[in-house]
Amino acid sequence: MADVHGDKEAGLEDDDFPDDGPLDPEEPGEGGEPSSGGDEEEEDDVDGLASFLESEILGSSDEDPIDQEPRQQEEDGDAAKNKRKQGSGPDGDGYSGSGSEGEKTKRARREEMRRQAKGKAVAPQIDTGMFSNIPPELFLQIFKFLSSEDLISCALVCRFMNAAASDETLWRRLYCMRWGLASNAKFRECAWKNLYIQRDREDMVEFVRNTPTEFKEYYIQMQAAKRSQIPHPSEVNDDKVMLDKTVADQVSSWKNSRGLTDEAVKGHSCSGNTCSYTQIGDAYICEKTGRVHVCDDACREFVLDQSSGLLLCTISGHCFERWLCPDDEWDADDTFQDLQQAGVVDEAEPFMGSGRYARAIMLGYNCTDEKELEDALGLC
Amino acid sequence: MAAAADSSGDGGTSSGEKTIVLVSSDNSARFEVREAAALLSQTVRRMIDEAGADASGDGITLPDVDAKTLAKVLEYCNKHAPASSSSSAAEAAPPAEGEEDLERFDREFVRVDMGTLYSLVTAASYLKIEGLLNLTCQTIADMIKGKTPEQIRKTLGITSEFTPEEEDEVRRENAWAF
Repeated sequence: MADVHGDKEAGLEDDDFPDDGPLDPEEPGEGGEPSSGGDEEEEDDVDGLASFLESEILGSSDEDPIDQEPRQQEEDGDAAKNKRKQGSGPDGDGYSGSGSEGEKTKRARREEMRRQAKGKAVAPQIDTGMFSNIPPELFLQIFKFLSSEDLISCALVCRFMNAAASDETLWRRLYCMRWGLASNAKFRECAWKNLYIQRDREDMVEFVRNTPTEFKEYYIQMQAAKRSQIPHPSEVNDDKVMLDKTVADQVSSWKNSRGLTDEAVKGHSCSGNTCSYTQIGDAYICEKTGRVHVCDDACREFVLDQSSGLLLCTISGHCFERWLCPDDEWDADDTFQDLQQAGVVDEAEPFMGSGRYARAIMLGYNCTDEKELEDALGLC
Repeated sequence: MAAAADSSGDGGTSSGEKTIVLVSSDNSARFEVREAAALLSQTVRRMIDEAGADASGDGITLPDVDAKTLAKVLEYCNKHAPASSSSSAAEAAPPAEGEEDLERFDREFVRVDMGTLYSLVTAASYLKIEGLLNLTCQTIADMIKGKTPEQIRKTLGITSEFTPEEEDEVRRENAWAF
């Protein structure tokens, strides 16, 4: 289909980009340049063909009138402070600062600390519009409900959303929902977003190659539909989809032994203070509802502990260091021991409860050496 | 108001249930609500635990929630609160209303302007009310679903600070086969 290939660019230019002019930002997925810059290492042709067929069939319909926003119009001085892209090492102070004094200052300071403590290069808050002071964590909560397609759209909205929409936990969930998790997959080393996109592309290529011509259209549509798969409400707060097969089986049998079903329980808020958990591998199961929390480097359930400056997962009791490099293996026990010896963690945390978190801390206090600590934590 | 036999000095409704007083950030409004409703908030629950049983006579001040938002949040809590007022059973007991009724209520509840929605989502996050947080986040997510970036910007009122080069780069990074 050399013809098609050759005409592809021209054809697409005509159909999908009716508005000439600089760089139309309105189209979420270009579809037009799979071989732009020759980045694709292999199977350019098939890839290109796949994307061409797709865009022809799916057609990026663009109903709304495209207002050419004056791109030169940047936000005021604040924009200068917002120039931080995602994924560039430890956080500095790209934080734009809320500016306004009074009651906002306290919250802003808290958020800044939180952001710095996370050590991830998340862009500062959206500076414009309604959501000018929304914290990054809250956006994660919202993005949990979106499909991969929508996340990509969001990434193109502004810098802040770009960073938030590229968060690895979101993509991990989407990946696991769509393809499940191989037993040997290593959470810590995966860039889930890239993995997802890559696998999606591979799938598409394979489909195009292997399906008879008369079915191509249909299959391509089917494939593309998978990208608009949204997480089921029950999956949004329960991490069970992210378990590999062996652990998942163990979790299931544990749940069965307790008479817990897979149904989501409404109205229950898991937290380290109110629930007790059983641990199976990286999974922590709430003993009341069977809800699963997967606690590893991608854990997002942590809170900032003011006294120690560490991030503590309230469910598992794990500590995360302030500037966490995703590739480093961290030793939670060491950290805790250090804390203890430094006398930093020396009084009952205000939010002690009956949960695992509380018990972990209490046990930790009484240990004299690392071995004892390890044993103690293993008992929790 | 007759004090309930099991209350420790808090005001009680005439039906004998324990209530809790919540105060908005600017101190302008005090709301007395059933304990079961107030405990839907993990933050409130924690504050009560910290403060001890009889310190809540004065009311619990919520520094990050203003009066208008607090009123709306409590509207949600009252509707979704379990029938039983005993705090240990509060989670396990089903809400007093029927399932469908609640869904209808939820749908109406979030039909508000963006400003209110935003206040609700931050309040729900601060107060750690999972149901409300899910509801509001889902609502905002629904507003984003299926839209192009430009449409999203319009809906949420965001201005993009991308320079043309950055925009290009981001689009390339995110260029899928579609």
